[in-house]
Amino acid sequence: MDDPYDVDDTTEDQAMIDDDDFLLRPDLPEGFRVQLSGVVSAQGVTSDWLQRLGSVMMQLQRASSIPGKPACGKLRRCGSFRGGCPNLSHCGTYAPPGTPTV
Amino acid sequence: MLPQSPAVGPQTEQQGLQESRFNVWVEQGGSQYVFNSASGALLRVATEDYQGYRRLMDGAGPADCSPKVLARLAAGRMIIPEGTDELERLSEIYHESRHSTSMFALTIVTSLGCNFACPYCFEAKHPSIMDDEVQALVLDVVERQLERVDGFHVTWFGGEPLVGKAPLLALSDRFIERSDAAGADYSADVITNGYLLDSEMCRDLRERRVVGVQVGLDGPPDVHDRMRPLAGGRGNFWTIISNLHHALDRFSVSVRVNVDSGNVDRVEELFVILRDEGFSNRLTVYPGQLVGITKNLLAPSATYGGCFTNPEFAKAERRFLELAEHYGLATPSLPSPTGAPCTAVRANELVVGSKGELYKCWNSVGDPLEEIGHIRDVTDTNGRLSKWLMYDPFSNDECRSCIALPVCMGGCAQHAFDEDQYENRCGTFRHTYREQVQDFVRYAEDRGLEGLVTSPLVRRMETR
Repeated sequence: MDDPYDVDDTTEDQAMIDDDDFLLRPDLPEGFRVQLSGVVSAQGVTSDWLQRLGSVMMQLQRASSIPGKPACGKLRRCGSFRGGCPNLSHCGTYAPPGTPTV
Repeated sequence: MLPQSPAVGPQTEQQGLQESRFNVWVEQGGSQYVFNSASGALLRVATEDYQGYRRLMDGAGPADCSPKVLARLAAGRMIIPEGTDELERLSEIYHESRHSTSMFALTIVTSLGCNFACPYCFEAKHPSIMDDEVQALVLDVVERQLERVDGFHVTWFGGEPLVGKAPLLALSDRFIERSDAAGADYSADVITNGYLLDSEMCRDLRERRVVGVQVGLDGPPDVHDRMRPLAGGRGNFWTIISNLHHALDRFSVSVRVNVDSGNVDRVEELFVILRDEGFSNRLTVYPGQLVGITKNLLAPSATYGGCFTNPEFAKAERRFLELAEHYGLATPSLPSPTGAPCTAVRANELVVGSKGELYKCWNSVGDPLEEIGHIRDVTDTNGRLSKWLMYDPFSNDECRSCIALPVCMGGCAQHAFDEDQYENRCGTFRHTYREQVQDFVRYAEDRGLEGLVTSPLVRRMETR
C-alpha cells in the first residue's frame, strides 16, 4: 500500500488543500502535501493511522517557513495589524509592484 | 494563561496529538469553526465531526472521529505533535525574520516639515527638506545593500513626504535604476496627508513605482478640518476628496481614520461621503488608535487627550468596520501570522530623517533623543540601537500566554518601552479575537467563499 502521506504534489493533494471547508487555507511549505486519497480511503482513525499522521505533522512543524516569505520566494503583503496598533500597522512584508490588495 | 491542551492518541514520544494553544473555536449556523493564529488557517467542521473530534481529544478513543477532519486539522496546524513547543518555534521565526537580510527596506523622510498642524501629531516638526548631500549618502547605502538583497522597498514618510517632492522623485529615479541593474525588486509606497496628491503628483509617483498610497481622513468635513487642519488653520477635506479621484486611477489606496472619543461617532458621515463619491469597493478605510505619546514633549501629542484605551479601541474598531463594510469600504479580515513585525525591530531596516539622521521607529522621527546614528556611516550607531534589536516578546510572560502572539509578535516595541503606553503596544486581536473570528465567519458564509479563500489582505500603514 502506498504511503498516504508522501510528499508528491498530485491532483488529489490539491483537492485536500483547496477544500472548501477551509475558509482561509493554511500556507503549507512548498513540497508538503497530505494526500487526500490516503486520508479518504482510510476507514477510521486507528493507532497506526494516528502514528502516520503524527509523522506528517512533525515534518510540517520542521518545514514551516517564515510568514511573509513563502517558500516559492515571492514576497507578499501580510496585513497583520488589523488597524489595531496605531504605530505598527505597516506590517513590513512587501509585495512586488502591481500586487493587488483587497 | 492559556490552558495546556491535552495530548491524545498513541502515547509515544512522536506519535501523540495535542491541540494547538492558538486555536479559536466559534460556533456559527450549526457548524463549528476553528481559526489558528499561528497558521492563519480557518476551517469549518461539521458539528458531528466536531463531537467525534472532541471525544477523541478528551480521551474517549478514535472510534467515531473522521480521519479526513483530523488530516485537515493537522494541515491547518490546529492539531500538532504531542510535546511540540509552539512558543519555541514562534521564537525561531521571530528571530530568523528579525535578522533576515534577503530584503532591505528604508523609511525615508524627504521633508520633516508638514503643511498640516494636527493636534495629535507625535513629531516635533520644523521645515527641513532632504538635500543633495544626504541623498547621495542614502544612495551609497542602498548601492551597497543591493549587492546582496532580493528586494528593496521604500516607504516615503514625513513630516509630509510630498512637501519634499524633489528629493522623493530624484531618489526614486536612482533607486529604480540601481535596483534594476542589480536585479532586485523595487517597490514603494507613500504615507501622505493627501493635500498635494493632485493629478500630476499621482502620475509622477506612479512612474516611480509607488504602488500604495495612504491618506488620512478623520471624519466629515467639520471634524476632519478640526483634527487635521492646514498649518494656517484652514480646512482641506474636499481637496483630499478631489485628490483621491486621481489616486484611485493609479494606486492601491487606503484611508486611515484616526479615532478617539471625540470623533468615533461621526465616522458614518464620512463613509456616506466616500460612498457618494463613488469610492465604495475601490479603497479601504481602517481605524487608527490615537495615543497621547508624551515622551517627546515638543510634539503636539504631548498635550493631546481623549484617547481610547486599547480595549476601548478594540470595541470601537468592531463597530467602525461593521459600518465600513456596510458602505463597501472594508471587508472583514483576520490577522495573518507574522515575523518581526516592523522596521523598529528588524535589523536590516532603517528610518532616515531629512538631515540624514537615523532612527529605528517611525514614532521617533524628529526626536533627537531617539537618533541612533547618521546615514554617512550606518555601521557607527550609538547605544540606542540595541534596545530595539534586543526587544524580545518571548521574554514577556503576558505575551507568551497571549493567543495573539503569532499575529503581533510583541506588538509595538516603542509603546512597550513607554510605561504610559505599555498597554497600547497590543493589536486588537488580543481583546476581541473571538468576535473577530465570528465576524469573519459570518461574512464569509453569508457572502459565499469566493474571493475570500486567498486571504483578504488589507494594507495597513502608519500616518498621523
